Amino acid sequence: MAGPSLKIKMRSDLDGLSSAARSIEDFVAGSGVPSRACYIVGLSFEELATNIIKYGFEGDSSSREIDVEIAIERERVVLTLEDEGREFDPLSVPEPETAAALDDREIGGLGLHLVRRMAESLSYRRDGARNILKVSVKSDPEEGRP
Amino acid sequence: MEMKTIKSDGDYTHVALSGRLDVDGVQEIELKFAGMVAARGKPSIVDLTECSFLASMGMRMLLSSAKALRAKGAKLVLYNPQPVVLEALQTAGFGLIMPIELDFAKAIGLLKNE
Repeated sequence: MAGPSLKIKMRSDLDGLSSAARSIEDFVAGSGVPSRACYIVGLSFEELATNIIKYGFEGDSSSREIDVEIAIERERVVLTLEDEGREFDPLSVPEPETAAALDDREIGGLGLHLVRRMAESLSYRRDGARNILKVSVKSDPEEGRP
Repeated sequence: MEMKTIKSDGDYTHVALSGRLDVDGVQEIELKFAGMVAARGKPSIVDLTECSFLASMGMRMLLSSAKALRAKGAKLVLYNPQPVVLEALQTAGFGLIMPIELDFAKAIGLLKNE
């Protein structure tokens, strides 16, 4: 049986992002998802949606929309983001140099790295004119306990 | 997102961040944070005890001030992040570039060891 899910059609700008982020946080925490998984879902949403807003569309992105879906399954939360922006596979981006010393460290490039490392999986496909990003986050209640 | 200044004297700066350091949170406090931490140029302790969420925008803000302080010969120490915030910081490699300390006395000690 499918668990609870939430669908949001958000405007592709920072106001749309913050309003969707609040709805997602309330929904995930309110569904009893453990706090570590709530954090990773929120982080994945913010990093991936920010990327789409900044780079996904030509010109002003605020007239465009991003479809967001959160599905709560037994042992994981699945976040899906769909947009009709330019084709972009975040998995094609090389990992940043996280071992670099402070003076050599570039400011930026961390968002995708965090999602790739902290989520259980991240997948991308192009379906016609749509980018479809799917992030799976483990939500085992035992996880994170000593 | 809220930023409280606990101490800002000749020796060091101590600020506490509470709430969500996400895109909105960073926009709310980044000027104030840079003014208090990077612009003062004193060794700084950033208390993350009450910070419930930290995304890459927030990490950029911390990294940018740490770099500015480093250029002035001062250190930035992160104090007491919650476990999942600590996990995100370690995943981003922050443990290698700025001290993250869970013991306040040790955090203060690190600031003085220039």
